[in-house]
Amino acid sequence: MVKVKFFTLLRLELGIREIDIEITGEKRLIEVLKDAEEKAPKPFLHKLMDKKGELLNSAIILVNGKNVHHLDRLETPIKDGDEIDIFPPGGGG
Amino acid sequence: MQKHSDIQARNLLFFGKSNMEKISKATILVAGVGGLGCVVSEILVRLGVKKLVIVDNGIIDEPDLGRQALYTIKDIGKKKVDAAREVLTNMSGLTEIEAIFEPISNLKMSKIHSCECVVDCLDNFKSRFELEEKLKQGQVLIHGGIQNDFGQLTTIIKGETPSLENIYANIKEEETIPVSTPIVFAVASLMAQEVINNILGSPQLIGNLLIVELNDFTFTKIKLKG
Repeated sequence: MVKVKFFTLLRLELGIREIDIEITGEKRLIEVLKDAEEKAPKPFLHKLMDKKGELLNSAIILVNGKNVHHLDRLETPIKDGDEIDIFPPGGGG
Repeated sequence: MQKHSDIQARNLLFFGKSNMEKISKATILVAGVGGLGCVVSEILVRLGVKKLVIVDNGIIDEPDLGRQALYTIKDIGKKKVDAAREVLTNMSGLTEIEAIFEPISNLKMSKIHSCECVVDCLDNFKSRFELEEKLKQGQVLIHGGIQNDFGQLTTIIKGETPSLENIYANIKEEETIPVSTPIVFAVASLMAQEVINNILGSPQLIGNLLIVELNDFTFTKIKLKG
């Protein structure tokens, strides 16, 4: 099981906090996110990536607490037990 | 001037003499005296830290009054650090206030290094990264950020924990950020608590990002990796 957790604006828009994805072996992050989108009440991938499949810079995606920009971005390998946290951070002070 | 123990009688009852002495010896740098910085500074002064260094290059404008607790309508047009210094100096008479009217990019590293704890109350990621870059190895940075009615905070230890750049890689800067007044006070209060936790040797957010969602009162800790 992989947990995909949504926070702040994304959580409000989707109306859910998390989606569990069954996974066998290893998948790429983009594949897991597409699986999550199928189970979500609304599409959300367009908020995370552009039409070319490049990550947008408006939200943070952490895999097991590490920003995917420091991993393999959307190609980051995901395995059973991993946690994916997604949130637009607050930049104000 | 009031006696130390009179002003802090209720805090003394809670923290105890030994902990209050640790707090009274602390020098803290607050980077940014906008929404978060005003509240963090007020709490630290009311708790009686030895010295507060406040840094900001902003001028008080009308929209600031909706969420920046140290300023009134009479302060419009003044430097934030000047108005804040006046209020904070008169608050208890216990804390020395040093006001620095400069952008973070001009702040001397020696000034930062002389403080045992640095509080990031800035309003943009560029300045945050500049501040983090200037920390000495092992120095403590309490980071907070807010938007709408949510926010996040963490404790960075330079060279030991995941850095701000690790957490916020490639994040986009927003031009004008919508902010509700309650999230300012809520996150700033939590940041001040974590400053005290660090002074007293029991930090709670080292390597953890606390996400605060006020609209349904959800607090979530995420374990970070560098």
